[in-house]
Amino acid sequence: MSLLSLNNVSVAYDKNVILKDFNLNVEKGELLSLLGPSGCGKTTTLRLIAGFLQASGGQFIFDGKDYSQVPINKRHFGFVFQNYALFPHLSIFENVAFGLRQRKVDRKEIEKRVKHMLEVVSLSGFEKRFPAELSGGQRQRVAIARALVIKPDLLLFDEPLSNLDANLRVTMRVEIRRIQQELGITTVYVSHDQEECFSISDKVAILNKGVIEQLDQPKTIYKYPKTEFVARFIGFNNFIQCRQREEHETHLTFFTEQEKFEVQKNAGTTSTRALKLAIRPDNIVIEKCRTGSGGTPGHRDNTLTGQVKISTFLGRSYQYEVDTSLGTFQVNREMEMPFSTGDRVILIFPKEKLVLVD
Amino acid sequence: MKKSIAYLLMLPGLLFLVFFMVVPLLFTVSSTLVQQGHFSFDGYLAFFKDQYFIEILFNTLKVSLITTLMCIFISFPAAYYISKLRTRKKTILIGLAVFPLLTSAIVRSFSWMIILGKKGILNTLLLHLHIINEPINILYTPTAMIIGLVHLFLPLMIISLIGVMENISDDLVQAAESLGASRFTAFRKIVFPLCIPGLVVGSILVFVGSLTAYTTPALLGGKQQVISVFLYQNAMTLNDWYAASIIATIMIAITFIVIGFMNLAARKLNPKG
Ligand SMILES: Nc1ncnc2c1ncn2[C@@H]1O[C@H](COP(=O)(O)OP(=O)(O)OP(=O)(O)O)[C@@H](O)[C@H]1O
Ligand SMILES: [Mg+2]
Repeated sequence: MSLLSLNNVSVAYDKNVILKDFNLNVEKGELLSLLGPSGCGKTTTLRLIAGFLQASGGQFIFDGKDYSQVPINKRHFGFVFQNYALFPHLSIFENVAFGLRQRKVDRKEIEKRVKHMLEVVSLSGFEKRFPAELSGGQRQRVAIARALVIKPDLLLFDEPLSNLDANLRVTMRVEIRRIQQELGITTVYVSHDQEECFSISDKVAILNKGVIEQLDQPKTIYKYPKTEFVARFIGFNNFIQCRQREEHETHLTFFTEQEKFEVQKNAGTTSTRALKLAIRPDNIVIEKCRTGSGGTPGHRDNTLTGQVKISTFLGRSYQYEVDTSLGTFQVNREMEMPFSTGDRVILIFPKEKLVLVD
Repeated sequence: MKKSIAYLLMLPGLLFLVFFMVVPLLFTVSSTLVQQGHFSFDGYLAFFKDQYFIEILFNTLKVSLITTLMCIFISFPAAYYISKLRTRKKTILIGLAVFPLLTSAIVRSFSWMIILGKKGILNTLLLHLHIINEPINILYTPTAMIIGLVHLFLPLMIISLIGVMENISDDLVQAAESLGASRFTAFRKIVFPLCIPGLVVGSILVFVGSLTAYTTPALLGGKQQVISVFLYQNAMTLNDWYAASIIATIMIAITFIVIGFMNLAARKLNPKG
């Protein structure tokens, strides 16, 4: 059984419904990320779990008990806020010690645990400082230490790294993952940075307008997005809507009005009746059209002819927007021999790179 | 270069303050310390030996203290509520809270006379409701004076408190609660200490304001003497400018002592305020 289950919960601000019949299960010891665009309800979900918000319906089970009526201060969850929410009038030591003092832990023990936790986040020697006297990254580590020192049953992170610079972000996320695994604390992590989520999570849930579109291991999501939204979100910018499909032993065949695409069977194709294909801009092969303009080249499956509409220099590669009979496709290609606007090209869609999405 | 421009910009204000405040103040204070050409402290000693003056002094301090405390108690919940509101409603409520500041103290005192008088609105109402059988005496008592002063200075306290409370984010309270603190503990250990700077500023404004207020005590307090009225009588009625200067100096001293004391308390309660 899952450590935490949200069953059909609903949350609304006034009349504005944010989560409706929302379901989420988190297993003991795992780090699960909620990933999604701004305003999709990530923070709302996290606040609901923490108890800052009340659900208007459904069930909230934690460790086998109904938690929906348990007050915030009895939940024993650690929360790391997006803006850290350190107590500005208390020293770093007192900030970290706050939770222990509420639990009436004795003086010596508090001293020991706070010292140790500050060591873990590499902030020994900062005890006497005040939050205003720390850098963003240091504050963030204090916030983590403050949440961890109470040995919470569940750790909740709300975009803890969003205010840091790129380098520190990478260091800190490795750190967070290390501490989380070392202490084995079940964690729900919110972010809208894909790389961050994919790199530290056991599982990722992609949220769209208060609905989980897909919950899987990072690798699975990256390779086999299930829906168009997820596919788009993780960079599959090209879609082909088909009308019909045929199943074969090793592959599936899809038909549009005039074209035919073969898709190799894989983990992502087994359980769906979808008719939409998706592919990343990096995976489309682009070649110069050999026959002159006008005449159709010997038409093969998994190809489209088209004309370069826009060519953008991206540094390491070029990005082309190519107009075809099935719409505009985005293609990336390494530098050598760039095409120019107006060139006629052939797009090849390798059958092992096409995925099916709803 | 930049610095000299900064000083230049400060000059008009500085000159104004020096000539119209610092210099007269020095004259006032020094005049109280000289008697028949000699330095002397006798004027002050005489005052502090005078039972009547001591009584007035304590009365004034008592009234100011009660006014300040009342303002704190009334303002705190109101300010907390207003600070949690969103823009539109907040603007309206702050406007309403500040509105009394826009009317003169005299007008407000007369309003209270109409309300609190023997045949005033309050007595008429209570008599009609048979809550009392005879009109009660509120006007021309310390109570009336305190009511008037609280009304006069409430906006200052509310504004000071809203100023600090606005900057206390809900996250802090929620952080405290998620760390195991009850609502009350979160308030006591987080919200309240963070309000202290505003509380101190508000208290200083209200206390010093009450201490030096003239119109309201004079109109509502009746025979009840406070130090500012006493000062006025000495200067204008008795034409005893020496005594008036001494009273003024004592008032200034009290003001400084109060401010110093408040700041000390603030530092104790909120080291990072
Ligand atoms: N206090 C509030 N009152 C009313 N609506 C709110 C409130 N807080 C959030 N919302 C709305 O709820 C929706 C979800 O908000 P939420 O904060 O959960 O988004 P999010 O996924 O965390 O976004 P972000 O990545 O920008 O932090 C948004 O449309 C937002 O406008
Ligand atoms: Mg958010």
